[in-house]
Amino acid sequence: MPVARTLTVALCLAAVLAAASARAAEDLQRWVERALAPAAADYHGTVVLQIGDKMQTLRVTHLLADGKPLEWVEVLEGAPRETIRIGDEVRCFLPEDRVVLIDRAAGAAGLSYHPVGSVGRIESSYRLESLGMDRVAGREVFGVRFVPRDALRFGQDWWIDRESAVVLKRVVWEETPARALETQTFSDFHLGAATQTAVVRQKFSSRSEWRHVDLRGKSVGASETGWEFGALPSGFQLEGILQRRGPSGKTVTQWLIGDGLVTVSVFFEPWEGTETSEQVERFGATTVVRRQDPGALRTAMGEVPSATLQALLAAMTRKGGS
Amino acid sequence: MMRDTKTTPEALSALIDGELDGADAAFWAERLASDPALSGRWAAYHLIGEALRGELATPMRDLRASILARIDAEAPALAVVPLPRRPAANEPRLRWMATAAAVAVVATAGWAVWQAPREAGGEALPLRQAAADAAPQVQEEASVDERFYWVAYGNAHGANGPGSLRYARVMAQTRGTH
Amino acid sequence: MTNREIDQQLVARARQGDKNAFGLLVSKYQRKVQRLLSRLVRDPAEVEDLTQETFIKAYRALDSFRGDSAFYTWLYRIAINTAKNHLMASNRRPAVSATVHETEEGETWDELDTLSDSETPENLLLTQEIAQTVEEAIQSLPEELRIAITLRELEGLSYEEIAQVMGCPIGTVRSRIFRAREAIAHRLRPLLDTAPDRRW
Repeated sequence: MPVARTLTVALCLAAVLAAASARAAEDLQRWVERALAPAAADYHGTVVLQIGDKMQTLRVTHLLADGKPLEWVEVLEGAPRETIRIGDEVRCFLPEDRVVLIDRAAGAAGLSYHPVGSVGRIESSYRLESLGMDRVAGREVFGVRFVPRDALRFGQDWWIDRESAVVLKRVVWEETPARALETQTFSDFHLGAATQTAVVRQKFSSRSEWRHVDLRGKSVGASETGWEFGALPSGFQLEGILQRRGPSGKTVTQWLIGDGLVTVSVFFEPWEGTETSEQVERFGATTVVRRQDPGALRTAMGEVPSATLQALLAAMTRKGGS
Repeated sequence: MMRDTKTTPEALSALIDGELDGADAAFWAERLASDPALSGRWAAYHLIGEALRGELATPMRDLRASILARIDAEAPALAVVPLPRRPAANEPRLRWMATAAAVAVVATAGWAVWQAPREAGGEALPLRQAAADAAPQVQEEASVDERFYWVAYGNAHGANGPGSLRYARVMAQTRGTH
Repeated sequence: MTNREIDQQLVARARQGDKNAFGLLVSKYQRKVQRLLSRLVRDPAEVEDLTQETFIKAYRALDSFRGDSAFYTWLYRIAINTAKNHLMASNRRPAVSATVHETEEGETWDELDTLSDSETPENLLLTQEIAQTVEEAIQSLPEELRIAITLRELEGLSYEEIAQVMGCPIGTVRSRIFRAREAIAHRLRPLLDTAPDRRW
């Protein structure tokens, strides 16, 4: 029965192929999950950022101290600006202004920080593709490409360290015109600790003579904001709302809205002006749309095309229709 | 795998004309060296330009392959030297935005200099929670201006890349505008 | 990114051991170097050897290229020195005299209008074939593509200037020039691929 045999072989082959591609998909998901999870290893290295036509180099140290992540980032050009995160708190040291900004870290106080298991959510808006094994900073990496399923978002390439799952290179790109918007690369990367946690802790508490500015807002419910969102752009969900004290001294409300891979912030602050205007700017992959309406100044920021931010702003209405 | 194959060579064409900037140019120049289809076009586009300008006096063999073969045969030729870093003085400063744009923004209400309260004597204020619509106390010197938005945006969630990359990205954008 | 910056990036990559990046510089400059050398040395075979030697010397000396002059002026200087050494070793005088003078960009070489022996009938035939194919290809292009590529390659206008001349967005100029190049390259392909020794 040659026909039946051929059919059996074909079916078996199809099953093998299907199993192989399912395995490949699972592999990709596992790589992304590993990369999204908080880093479980100590590491340090140099990061080169290419943002538009600007380049900046930073030294990065990541340590685990009593199970708490400790991150220290130093800008290597110009004045030595630094960010240090210990556990839930982030401090930015700005020497030009002798200012320390204090903020809550992502993942703290109920804010999302790429929770493990969110790959499924990412896949509803992006198609995952394997870029295979390669080398970054002399280390073996696995490349994953996030291809957007619609024009509401940019694509990304992540090169994930095989050993530690730290993302060693990240490129944000757009499809039309095809171009890289921003590249973040470790030019050197080492596992292990080069600095003692005590040193970083000491730095964290230093500069007491500088002005300390607390940005840590409080988490609020949607009903407290005076605004509501109609239909959000496809794939986006409201992830949290914060209220902070903003540049003008007024309370600024910040909505965090994400698609699983990127999160966009929409800020609102009261404004006395009566005109209407809109300004769009792009810094590498980050788009900023500022819209002024009578009584309201809104700023949307995120690594998405401007149309997505504009759609978000358009979906926002004052409660009670006023 | 390359990105959109239709638009890829268009970027290359613009690159050759010096019409691609910054990250785009760096990105395609990097791709160019590793993609044979792109390097073939690079050679052809240059040849076309020369042909149009009547600069084809001595057409000869394409020497690329034999030159590279001879270089290979001579290995170890070059020591690996790190890319020279441009001196900091010439480094373009990363700013929130171009000065003109910054001026325009500061001029609009609501984007005025962020005035944070401080106690007399210049002492650091105790950490303070947001107080709804609290009237700002005037603070004449240090301004924190638009960086508020970058820090608030970058710290609150996982945007700007995973792990340390996120903080690196925020720090890149926190240089003052003055 | 200017042409000079592109070259510098390719040089930087080549310095880090990326030979393909150096190959791109060869593709871009080999005919210019050949043209220059053919003014100094008559024998086409020698011109070819010296061209190869020039690029190999340049590759070996990449570390000493400081980037304060353009890559091609530095390359031309190596080519001229290579030719001079060759002629001295064979105890011959240059076919024509060449003058090198300083400009803002560094040294450049004054090209002299002397027909050299490298323009053999065979080479001339191929030159004509390529030139003719390009000419035919450009004539058969739709007008807006023909104007765009001409303004770019012959007049050296920037995309912005071309956009002003043609009254269209810069993005359209970019796409037109690209389409023109693709159409001409398509016509040239058989000539380049089937030519003996992949002659250009």
